[in-house]
Amino acid sequence: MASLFSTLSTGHSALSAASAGIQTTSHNVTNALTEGYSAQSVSTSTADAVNVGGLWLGQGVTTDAITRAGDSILGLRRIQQSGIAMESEAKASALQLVEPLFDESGSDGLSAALTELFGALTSATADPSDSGNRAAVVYAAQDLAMAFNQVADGLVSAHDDITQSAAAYSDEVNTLLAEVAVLNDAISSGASGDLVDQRDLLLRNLGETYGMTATIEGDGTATVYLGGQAVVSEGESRLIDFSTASAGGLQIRVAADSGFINVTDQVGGTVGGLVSAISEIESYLATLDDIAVTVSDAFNAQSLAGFDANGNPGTALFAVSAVGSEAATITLSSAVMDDPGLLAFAGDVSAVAGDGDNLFAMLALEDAALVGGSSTIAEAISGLKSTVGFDIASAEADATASGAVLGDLDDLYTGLYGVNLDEQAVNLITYQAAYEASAKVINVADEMLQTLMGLV
Amino acid sequence: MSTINFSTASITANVKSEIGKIGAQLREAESIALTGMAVSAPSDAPEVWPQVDKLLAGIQDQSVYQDNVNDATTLMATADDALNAVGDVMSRVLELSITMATETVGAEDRANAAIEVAALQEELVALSNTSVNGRYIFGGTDYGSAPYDATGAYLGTNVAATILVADGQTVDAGWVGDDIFNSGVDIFGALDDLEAALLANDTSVISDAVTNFTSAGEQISTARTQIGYEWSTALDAASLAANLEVTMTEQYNNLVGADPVEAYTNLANLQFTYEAALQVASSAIGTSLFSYLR
Repeated sequence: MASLFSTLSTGHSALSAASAGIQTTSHNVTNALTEGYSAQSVSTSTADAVNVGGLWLGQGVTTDAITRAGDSILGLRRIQQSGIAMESEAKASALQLVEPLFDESGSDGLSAALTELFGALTSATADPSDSGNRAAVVYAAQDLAMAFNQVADGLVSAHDDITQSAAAYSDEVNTLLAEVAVLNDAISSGASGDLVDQRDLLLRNLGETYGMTATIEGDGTATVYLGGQAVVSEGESRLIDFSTASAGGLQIRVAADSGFINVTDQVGGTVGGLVSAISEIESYLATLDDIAVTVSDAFNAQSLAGFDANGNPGTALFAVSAVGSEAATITLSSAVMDDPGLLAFAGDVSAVAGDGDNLFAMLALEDAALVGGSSTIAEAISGLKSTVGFDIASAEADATASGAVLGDLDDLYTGLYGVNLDEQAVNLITYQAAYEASAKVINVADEMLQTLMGLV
Repeated sequence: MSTINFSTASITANVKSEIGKIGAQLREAESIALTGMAVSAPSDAPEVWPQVDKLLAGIQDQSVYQDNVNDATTLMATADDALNAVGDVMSRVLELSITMATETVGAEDRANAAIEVAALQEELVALSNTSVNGRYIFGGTDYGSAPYDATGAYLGTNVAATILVADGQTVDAGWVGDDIFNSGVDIFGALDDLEAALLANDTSVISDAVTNFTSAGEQISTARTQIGYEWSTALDAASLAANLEVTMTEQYNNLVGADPVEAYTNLANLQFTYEAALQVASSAIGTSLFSYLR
């Protein structure tokens, strides 16, 4: 004969299962917008039946587990894609800092200054001896030097700012890796889905910020990689070092048994994007320095070939004071600045008023292939501007494309494993009904017991 | 039965993302409509900047060339006026030569003519030292100093001063007085000879002066013609520069400018789309079955 106490126990198991369902549904609903949260569900199974007097009597339901929805393959793909998307986005944003330096829509800038100089030289052909014409050339030359200085200073400033921004990420990386290691320990011992969500959120953060990738091992722990180096394995993490050593700029290294391994070029994510932008800016600076050196050398050589208003041999027009920083340090000769008569327009030592032979030779520099033997100065400046434009446009396009792929992956993942409130509402109703039904069973069993007791 | 699920988080994220994208497009459209520039930053159209920079430089060049033509034609006009006056002097000298070569005049008349020739020579020296704002126009490149002394000796250079009026094209703007007044017929020398012959009452030399000053008149006319040719060249250059300036400006606007109608239409469309997206967002976010449960 079946026991009423057994019925009570069966009812209780159902109450427990329904309670777990309601609790889990409540947890899902309250975390519907929590970043990285994966919906959880209750797994139940039928409790083993018991043979009583030849009858197999069911013992109710067993609440087996609260399962976290998820797909490690899809999740890891998201992490990888997030690194790609953030790298492009960070690079585009960083390079946009330098774009205004090359924006000449307001008629200021390098190209405009160069045009102004050759325009002043052209005007001077009307009267090379005129003090006003000479002064105009001096001012135009100074404007050109200052334009080089401004662009170079802007590039250097952006380079330093971006380097500092990238270096600032060093503060958190080792903390994040240590947290992953701690969570790995807990997960390997059998932890809740919430801890797995936390761990995966950290992996997403590491992927977005540093381009780190991960694999999930059989025990549920994550092995995290940076530049092919395992930086977290089970409960252990390795030190990552950010260094802004003067020679090489920002360097990112992973600690190893044999010392440090340089992984700077293999970092992705936001930091990788910033590193890439730093590299591009360095190339812009190098090109700008080349152009500045060309301007200085060409005009100086031509000046030295002529004679000033007093018939004296010409002097250098420009000066650069630091190798490797030519664009930042190019200046107009202070002597010429103070005395435009020193401009060497004449081609002959007699330097009569209208002798502009050397002036015409200076004008010929405008169309000479001086930069790299193939480009005029103006073409080189325009080429640099186009390069900056292409790099930014390309990074923006990459960011848009990779962002779209990431968006699709996120939609797919959260669609499959995120919280759908409609679904949770239905679950709540279902668990509530189950709880009410189970309570009814207990109530009936209780009444039957009371009746039985009353007979005694 | 398979279904497509959208989690609450993904709905919210997508709405934010789409509104953000439309917002960014709207801001860009506003900028284009307000500035009239479809291309202003290097990344807007990287491939056009070499051409744009070339056009901007070219536009400025044409403006400078036009200014230079103005300077050149001022000097040319002055030179032409001066040579016109020189031509008048030559005509008077020729007239005197013809008259004084005849047997109808005597030594006293010739002596008086010699005085007039001396005065004409002084006038010729003054004309050969014509200047514009201190710039002597018949000294070649040495236009800072008077090209002729009182005796008519040339002190300037033998190279004409030139002004750049177009790409690779110059015009003369400072003439070699030696070529005009001293080559072919040395006009000053011929005047000296004529004066001496008049004072000496030497009709044979006076007769030679008729030939000399006939040639001198032609020499001055030739110089004026050459200046006229340079003047015409300068005016053609100015006309070309003006046309090029217009053409290049149009090309520049085509490359970087925005069509106003297209810009404002696009702006209006995006504003409408943005408002519609906001309305959809307000409906999509927060709608679930929970809203309908009692």
